Amino acid sequence: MNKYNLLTPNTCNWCPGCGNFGIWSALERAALQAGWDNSNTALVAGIGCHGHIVNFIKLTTFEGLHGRPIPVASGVKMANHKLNVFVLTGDGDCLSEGGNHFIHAARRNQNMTVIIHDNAIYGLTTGQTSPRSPRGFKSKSTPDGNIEEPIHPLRLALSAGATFLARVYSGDIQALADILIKANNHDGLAVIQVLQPCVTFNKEYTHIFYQENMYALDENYDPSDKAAAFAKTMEWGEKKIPVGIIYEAQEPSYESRMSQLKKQALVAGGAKKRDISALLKSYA
Amino acid sequence: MTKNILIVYASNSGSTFLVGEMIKNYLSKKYTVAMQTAAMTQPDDLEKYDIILLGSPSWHVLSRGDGFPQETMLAFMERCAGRSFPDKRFAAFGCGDSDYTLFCGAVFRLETFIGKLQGQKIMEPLKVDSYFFRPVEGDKQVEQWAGELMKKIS
Repeated sequence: MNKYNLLTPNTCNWCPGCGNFGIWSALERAALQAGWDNSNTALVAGIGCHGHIVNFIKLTTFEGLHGRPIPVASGVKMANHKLNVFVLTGDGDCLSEGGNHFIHAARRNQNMTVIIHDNAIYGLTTGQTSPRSPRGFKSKSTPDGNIEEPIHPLRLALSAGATFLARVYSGDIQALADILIKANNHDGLAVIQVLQPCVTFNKEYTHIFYQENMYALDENYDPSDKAAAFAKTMEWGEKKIPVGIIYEAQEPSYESRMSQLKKQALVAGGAKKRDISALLKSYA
Repeated sequence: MTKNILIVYASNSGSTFLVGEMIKNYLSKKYTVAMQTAAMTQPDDLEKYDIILLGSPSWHVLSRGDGFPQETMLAFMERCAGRSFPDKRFAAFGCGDSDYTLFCGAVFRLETFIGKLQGQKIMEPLKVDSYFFRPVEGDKQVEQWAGELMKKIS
């Protein structure tokens, strides 16, 4: 298989320069390196610019309701826990509409990878303040400046119980591809915050902003140290945006604790059909 | 004769990186090729190579305007001010979008920069239009250009 096998006939509709192109390229690269295809991998996206990715990559995909890709992916994983399951979600999709699902997926330590396309704005609806927009951020929805504090998704996920946390800049395609593979190999919930500039509507978190202000975690950094990971998630700002694997711990995943999944995937057992006509008649 | 090639690139969405990587893979069949970002490149680095390829997307740069090289490439160009490399051979490449004015304006500016360095221009630059929107055609164009470059330097 080569990268052309993963192309669809659809032409991209992201803006030129969009950070989503890097995520798309990294996902293709990781799929080729790791052997992900339609038989072993499922992608579930939410609503937003990020969700268009399901139209451009030839893998099994599902685009759900706004904020709900995690519940759909949970269902996919429950039905066939042997699949590689990826959630593609925007910062608005994941942290606002889908915030509850995100917290509980982390608490359960479900064995899937959540990729947050973090552009710190609602881009598809042409530029409104999102849960990742910084305080003071001016947009169509906050013309006088955002009065709220942003959510930090890795800090939230860590406190809720996720066991693999990483942050990557979307333009660093090889680094993102490598982390996608490691996240998928991790047994438990992996969260990747991808710093993904919206070149049209977010003039603060630009490509050059990230390129100038992120730094790679030191070789001596220990990602198994939870307190150190918390400290890293507190860092944000000028020359203070750490990228790399921030936290990695070995804890039993949700699926590994389910006795029903010990023997085989649920889907392998087939669906049991029952005649419910008598039940329906009883309501007549 | 063995030739050492350096690719210095800047990239935002990743297209110029991918194009640079394709060029590197093609030329590596025959030559030793290094590739590094403009942000981490110092003018002295160029001294170690026979051939230097410069790549950048075209961008709207605040305080300058449309069609400029990406900011880290501009900073590299500024670091090279006053330097000359008359014995080095250069070529430029970049990604752009012909729906915008000044298509691949950065590549034009890179060529001007090569002139200021008194470098030897190997061939016409590579200008890739809308790489992510037409990846198959884009890759063919890159491969063709790399092939021509290979012939010119052989």
